[in-house]
Amino acid sequence: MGQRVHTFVRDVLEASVTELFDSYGLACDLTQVVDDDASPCIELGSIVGFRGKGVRGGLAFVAPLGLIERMLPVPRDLTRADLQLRDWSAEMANQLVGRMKNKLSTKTLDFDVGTPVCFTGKSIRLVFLPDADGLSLAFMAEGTPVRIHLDCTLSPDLVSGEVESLRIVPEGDVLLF
Amino acid sequence: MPKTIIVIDDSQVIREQVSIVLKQAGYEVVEAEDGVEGAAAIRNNPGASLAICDVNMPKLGGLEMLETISAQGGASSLPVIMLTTEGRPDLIERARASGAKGWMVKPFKPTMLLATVKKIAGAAA
Repeated sequence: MGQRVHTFVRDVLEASVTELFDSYGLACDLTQVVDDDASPCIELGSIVGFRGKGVRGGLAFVAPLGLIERMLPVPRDLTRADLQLRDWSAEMANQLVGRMKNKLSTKTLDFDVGTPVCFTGKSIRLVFLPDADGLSLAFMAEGTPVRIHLDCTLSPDLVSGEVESLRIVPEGDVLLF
Repeated sequence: MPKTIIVIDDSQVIREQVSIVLKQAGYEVVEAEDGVEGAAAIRNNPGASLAICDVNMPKLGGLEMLETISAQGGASSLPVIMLTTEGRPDLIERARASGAKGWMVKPFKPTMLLATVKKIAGAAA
Protein backbone atom coordinates (compact mmCIF):
# COMPACT_ATOMS: atom_id res chain seq x y z
CA MET A 1 0.00 0.00 0.00
CA GLY A 2 1.19 3.50 -0.72
CA GLN A 3 1.16 6.05 2.08
CA ARG A 4 -2.11 7.66 0.94
CA VAL A 5 -3.88 4.32 0.75
CA HIS A 6 -2.33 3.21 4.02
CA THR A 7 -3.72 6.32 5.74
CA PHE A 8 -7.14 5.80 4.15
CA VAL A 9 -7.36 2.15 5.19
CA ARG A 10 -6.12 3.01 8.68
CA ASP A 11 -8.81 5.71 9.02
CA VAL A 12 -11.50 3.28 7.84
CA LEU A 13 -10.29 0.63 10.28
CA GLU A 14 -10.18 3.06 13.21
CA ALA A 15 -13.70 4.34 12.46
CA SER A 16 -15.01 0.79 12.08
CA VAL A 17 -13.59 -0.29 15.45
CA THR A 18 -14.87 2.72 17.40
CA GLU A 19 -18.32 2.48 15.78
CA LEU A 20 -18.55 -1.25 16.49
CA PHE A 21 -17.77 -0.80 20.19
CA ASP A 22 -20.10 2.19 20.38
CA SER A 23 -22.94 0.06 19.01
CA TYR A 24 -22.45 -2.25 22.01
CA GLY A 25 -22.35 0.67 24.44
CA LEU A 26 -18.59 0.77 25.04
CA ALA A 27 -16.29 3.73 24.41
CA CYS A 28 -13.18 2.69 22.48
CA ASP A 29 -10.27 4.98 21.57
CA LEU A 30 -7.15 4.53 19.53
CA THR A 31 -4.15 4.66 21.85
CA GLN A 32 -1.78 5.60 19.01
CA VAL A 33 0.81 3.22 20.40
CA VAL A 34 1.02 -0.35 19.21
CA ASP A 35 2.55 -2.18 22.13
CA ASP A 36 4.80 -5.02 21.08
CA ASP A 37 4.49 -6.68 24.47
CA ALA A 38 1.98 -9.49 24.47
CA SER A 39 -0.76 -9.29 27.07
CA PRO A 40 -0.24 -11.56 30.11
CA CYS A 41 -3.97 -12.21 30.49
CA ILE A 42 -6.07 -14.77 28.65
CA GLU A 43 -7.16 -13.35 25.33
CA LEU A 44 -9.49 -14.42 22.56
CA GLY A 45 -8.57 -13.73 18.98
CA SER A 46 -10.51 -14.19 15.77
CA ILE A 47 -9.24 -13.98 12.23
CA VAL A 48 -11.39 -13.37 9.16
CA GLY A 49 -9.99 -13.62 5.66
CA PHE A 50 -11.28 -11.69 2.67
CA ARG A 51 -10.62 -11.77 -1.03
CA GLY A 52 -11.99 -10.05 -4.08
CA LYS A 53 -11.30 -7.93 -7.13
CA GLY A 54 -7.83 -6.51 -6.53
CA VAL A 55 -7.93 -6.96 -2.78
CA ARG A 56 -7.10 -9.75 -0.38
CA GLY A 57 -6.05 -10.11 3.21
CA GLY A 58 -7.15 -10.90 6.71
CA LEU A 59 -8.13 -9.16 9.91
CA ALA A 60 -7.40 -10.30 13.46
CA PHE A 61 -9.40 -9.03 16.43
CA VAL A 62 -7.69 -9.75 19.78
CA ALA A 63 -9.20 -8.82 23.15
CA PRO A 64 -9.16 -10.12 26.73
CA LEU A 65 -11.74 -12.72 27.66
CA GLY A 66 -13.33 -10.32 30.16
CA LEU A 67 -14.03 -7.70 27.51
CA ILE A 68 -15.69 -10.21 25.17
CA GLU A 69 -17.84 -11.26 28.12
CA ARG A 70 -18.85 -7.64 28.78
CA MET A 71 -19.90 -7.23 25.15
CA LEU A 72 -21.96 -10.42 25.12
CA PRO A 73 -25.56 -9.47 24.23
CA VAL A 74 -27.13 -12.56 25.84
CA PRO A 75 -26.93 -14.05 29.35
CA ARG A 76 -23.71 -15.93 30.08
CA ASP A 77 -24.18 -19.69 29.79
CA LEU A 78 -21.68 -21.31 32.15
CA THR A 79 -22.34 -24.79 30.74
CA ARG A 80 -20.72 -23.75 27.48
CA ALA A 81 -18.86 -20.60 28.51
CA ASP A 82 -15.78 -21.06 26.30
CA LEU A 83 -17.84 -21.83 23.24
CA GLN A 84 -20.14 -18.88 23.80
CA LEU A 85 -17.28 -16.37 24.16
CA ARG A 86 -15.36 -17.81 21.20
CA ASP A 87 -18.52 -17.55 19.12
CA TRP A 88 -18.95 -13.91 20.13
CA SER A 89 -15.30 -13.05 19.47
CA ALA A 90 -15.68 -14.52 15.99
CA GLU A 91 -18.90 -12.56 15.44
CA MET A 92 -17.16 -9.34 16.55
CA ALA A 93 -14.42 -9.94 13.96
CA ASN A 94 -17.11 -10.67 11.38
CA GLN A 95 -19.02 -7.49 12.18
CA LEU A 96 -15.78 -5.48 12.11
CA VAL A 97 -14.85 -6.73 8.65
CA GLY A 98 -18.46 -6.10 7.58
CA ARG A 99 -18.20 -2.47 8.66
CA MET A 100 -14.88 -2.09 6.89
CA LYS A 101 -16.31 -3.65 3.77
CA ASN A 102 -19.32 -1.37 3.81
CA LYS A 103 -17.05 1.68 4.11
CA LEU A 104 -14.60 0.52 1.46
CA SER A 105 -17.02 -0.89 -1.09
CA THR A 106 -17.04 0.85 -4.41
CA LYS A 107 -17.86 -0.33 -7.91
CA THR A 108 -14.18 -1.13 -8.37
CA LEU A 109 -13.41 -2.52 -4.92
CA ASP A 110 -15.37 -5.47 -3.68
CA PHE A 111 -14.53 -8.56 -1.69
CA ASP A 112 -16.05 -11.66 -0.19
CA VAL A 113 -15.62 -12.31 3.51
CA GLY A 114 -14.67 -15.74 4.87
CA THR A 115 -15.78 -17.54 7.99
CA PRO A 116 -13.99 -16.46 11.21
CA VAL A 117 -11.47 -18.70 12.97
CA CYS A 118 -11.02 -18.23 16.72
CA PHE A 119 -8.01 -18.86 18.96
CA THR A 120 -7.27 -18.30 22.63
CA GLY A 121 -4.26 -18.15 24.91
CA LYS A 122 -1.93 -16.03 27.02
CA SER A 123 0.80 -13.77 25.69
CA ILE A 124 -0.54 -13.87 22.14
CA ARG A 125 1.68 -11.99 19.73
CA LEU A 126 0.81 -11.68 16.07
CA VAL A 127 3.64 -10.95 13.67
CA PHE A 128 3.25 -10.10 10.00
CA LEU A 129 5.33 -11.87 7.38
CA PRO A 130 8.25 -9.74 6.18
CA ASP A 131 6.59 -8.86 2.86
CA ALA A 132 3.12 -8.34 4.29
CA ASP A 133 1.36 -4.99 4.06
CA GLY A 134 0.36 -5.06 7.70
CA LEU A 135 -1.34 -2.53 9.89
CA SER A 136 -1.68 -2.96 13.67
CA LEU A 137 -3.77 -0.67 15.83
CA ALA A 138 -4.15 -0.66 19.59
CA PHE A 139 -7.29 0.61 21.31
CA MET A 140 -8.50 1.01 24.85
CA ALA A 141 -12.10 0.00 25.42
CA GLU A 142 -13.25 1.07 28.87
CA GLY A 143 -9.70 0.62 30.18
CA THR A 144 -9.12 -2.71 28.45
CA PRO A 145 -6.65 -3.15 25.60
CA VAL A 146 -7.88 -4.31 22.20
CA ARG A 147 -5.58 -5.06 19.28
CA ILE A 148 -6.54 -5.14 15.62
CA HIS A 149 -4.18 -6.48 12.98
CA LEU A 150 -4.97 -6.00 9.32
CA ASP A 151 -2.99 -7.60 6.52
CA CYS A 152 -4.35 -6.14 3.31
CA THR A 153 -3.03 -6.12 -0.23
CA LEU A 154 -4.70 -3.71 -2.63
CA SER A 155 -4.10 -3.50 -6.34
CA PRO A 156 -2.57 -0.08 -7.16
CA ASP A 157 -4.95 0.19 -10.13
CA LEU A 158 -7.92 0.27 -7.79
CA VAL A 159 -6.89 3.15 -5.63
CA SER A 160 -5.29 5.47 -8.14
CA GLY A 161 -8.36 5.90 -10.32
CA GLU A 162 -11.78 7.37 -9.75
CA VAL A 163 -13.88 5.50 -7.24
CA GLU A 164 -17.64 5.62 -7.14
CA SER A 165 -19.21 5.04 -3.78
CA LEU A 166 -22.11 2.67 -3.42
CA ARG A 167 -25.25 3.41 -1.45
CA ILE A 168 -24.80 0.92 1.35
CA VAL A 169 -27.52 0.10 3.90
CA PRO A 170 -26.09 1.38 7.22
CA GLU A 171 -25.50 -0.91 10.19
CA GLY A 172 -28.60 -1.24 12.37
CA ASP A 173 -30.96 -0.26 9.54
CA VAL A 174 -33.58 -2.36 7.82
CA LEU A 175 -34.71 -2.21 4.21
CA LEU A 176 -38.06 -3.75 3.31
CA PHE A 177 -38.79 -4.78 -0.27
CA MET B 1 -51.23 -20.98 18.61
CA PRO B 2 -48.00 -18.94 18.44
CA LYS B 3 -46.44 -18.24 15.08
CA THR B 4 -43.12 -19.91 14.28
CA ILE B 5 -40.04 -18.01 13.13
CA ILE B 6 -37.00 -19.84 11.72
CA VAL B 7 -33.68 -18.24 12.70
CA ILE B 8 -30.67 -19.23 10.54
CA ASP B 9 -27.22 -17.98 11.59
CA ASP B 10 -23.87 -19.67 12.17
CA SER B 11 -23.32 -17.60 15.33
CA GLN B 12 -24.97 -19.32 18.26
CA VAL B 13 -24.96 -16.01 20.18
CA ILE B 14 -26.79 -14.19 17.38
CA ARG B 15 -29.36 -17.01 17.17
CA GLU B 16 -29.87 -16.80 20.93
CA GLN B 17 -30.08 -12.99 20.84
CA VAL B 18 -32.74 -13.07 18.11
CA SER B 19 -34.58 -15.94 19.81
CA ILE B 20 -34.78 -14.08 23.12
CA VAL B 21 -36.37 -11.06 21.43
CA LEU B 22 -38.87 -13.22 19.53
CA LYS B 23 -39.77 -15.55 22.41
CA GLN B 24 -40.35 -12.58 24.73
CA ALA B 25 -42.85 -11.31 22.15
CA GLY B 26 -44.62 -14.69 22.12
CA TYR B 27 -43.25 -16.31 18.95
CA GLU B 28 -41.96 -19.86 18.72
CA VAL B 29 -38.45 -20.17 17.33
CA VAL B 30 -36.72 -22.89 15.32
CA GLU B 31 -32.95 -22.46 15.00
CA ALA B 32 -30.57 -23.59 12.23
CA GLU B 33 -26.82 -22.97 12.02
CA ASP B 34 -26.17 -22.86 8.28
CA GLY B 35 -27.93 -22.83 4.93
CA VAL B 36 -28.20 -26.61 4.72
CA GLU B 37 -29.89 -26.84 8.12
CA GLY B 38 -31.91 -23.75 7.26
CA ALA B 39 -33.32 -25.26 4.08
CA ALA B 40 -34.23 -28.40 6.05
CA ALA B 41 -35.88 -26.32 8.78
CA ILE B 42 -37.95 -24.49 6.15
CA ARG B 43 -39.00 -27.82 4.59
CA ASN B 44 -39.83 -29.33 7.98
CA ASN B 45 -41.83 -26.34 9.22
CA PRO B 46 -44.35 -25.62 6.44
CA GLY B 47 -46.48 -23.60 8.83
CA ALA B 48 -43.69 -21.18 9.73
CA SER B 49 -44.52 -17.49 9.33
CA LEU B 50 -41.06 -16.08 8.62
CA ALA B 51 -37.35 -16.95 8.33
CA ILE B 52 -34.55 -14.65 9.48
CA CYS B 53 -31.36 -15.62 7.69
CA ASP B 54 -27.66 -14.68 7.77
CA VAL B 55 -25.74 -14.32 4.48
CA ASN B 56 -22.18 -15.52 5.16
CA MET B 57 -22.36 -19.00 6.65
CA PRO B 58 -20.34 -22.20 6.30
CA LYS B 59 -21.61 -25.11 4.15
CA LEU B 60 -24.25 -23.01 2.40
CA GLY B 61 -24.67 -19.22 2.54
CA GLY B 62 -28.02 -17.53 3.03
CA LEU B 63 -28.30 -16.15 -0.50
CA GLU B 64 -27.37 -19.50 -2.03
CA MET B 65 -29.93 -21.19 0.20
CA LEU B 66 -32.60 -18.72 -0.90
CA GLU B 67 -31.67 -19.10 -4.57
CA THR B 68 -31.73 -22.89 -4.31
CA ILE B 69 -35.16 -22.88 -2.70
CA SER B 70 -36.42 -20.35 -5.23
CA ALA B 71 -35.06 -22.39 -8.18
CA GLN B 72 -36.80 -25.49 -6.84
CA GLY B 73 -40.04 -23.55 -6.67
CA GLY B 74 -40.44 -24.25 -2.98
CA ALA B 75 -41.29 -22.18 0.07
CA SER B 76 -42.32 -19.26 -2.08
CA SER B 77 -44.93 -18.28 0.46
CA LEU B 78 -42.48 -18.10 3.37
CA PRO B 79 -41.23 -14.54 3.83
CA VAL B 80 -37.47 -14.24 4.50
CA ILE B 81 -35.54 -11.36 6.05
CA MET B 82 -31.77 -11.34 5.63
CA LEU B 83 -29.82 -10.37 8.80
CA THR B 84 -26.18 -9.77 7.97
CA THR B 85 -23.11 -7.55 8.25
CA GLU B 86 -23.25 -7.06 4.47
CA GLY B 87 -24.81 -3.90 3.04
CA ARG B 88 -23.92 -4.06 -0.63
CA PRO B 89 -26.68 -3.21 -3.14
CA ASP B 90 -25.84 -6.10 -5.47
CA LEU B 91 -26.28 -8.63 -2.66
CA ILE B 92 -29.50 -6.95 -1.57
CA GLU B 93 -30.77 -7.15 -5.15
CA ARG B 94 -29.88 -10.88 -5.27
CA ALA B 95 -31.91 -11.42 -2.11
CA ARG B 96 -34.86 -9.43 -3.44
CA ALA B 97 -34.77 -11.31 -6.75
CA SER B 98 -34.91 -14.60 -4.85
CA GLY B 99 -37.99 -13.55 -2.94
CA ALA B 100 -36.60 -12.07 0.29
CA LYS B 101 -38.83 -9.47 1.93
CA GLY B 102 -36.20 -7.43 3.74
CA TRP B 103 -32.55 -6.78 4.55
CA MET B 104 -31.28 -5.86 8.01
CA VAL B 105 -27.67 -4.98 8.77
CA LYS B 106 -26.03 -6.15 12.03
CA PRO B 107 -25.79 -5.21 14.78
CA PHE B 108 -29.56 -5.13 14.98
CA LYS B 109 -31.70 -3.15 17.38
CA PRO B 110 -34.15 -5.50 19.14
CA THR B 111 -37.03 -3.02 18.82
CA MET B 112 -36.43 -2.63 15.09
CA LEU B 113 -36.14 -6.40 14.61
CA LEU B 114 -39.41 -6.99 16.42
CA ALA B 115 -41.21 -4.21 14.55
CA THR B 116 -40.02 -5.68 11.25
CA VAL B 117 -41.10 -9.20 12.22
CA LYS B 118 -44.55 -7.95 13.27
CA LYS B 119 -44.92 -6.01 10.05
CA ILE B 120 -44.15 -9.03 7.88
CA ALA B 121 -45.38 -11.99 9.95
CA GLY B 122 -48.02 -10.26 12.03
CA ALA B 123 -48.46 -10.51 15.80
CA ALA B 124 -47.18 -13.60 17.59
CA ALA B 125 -50.57 -15.28 18.00
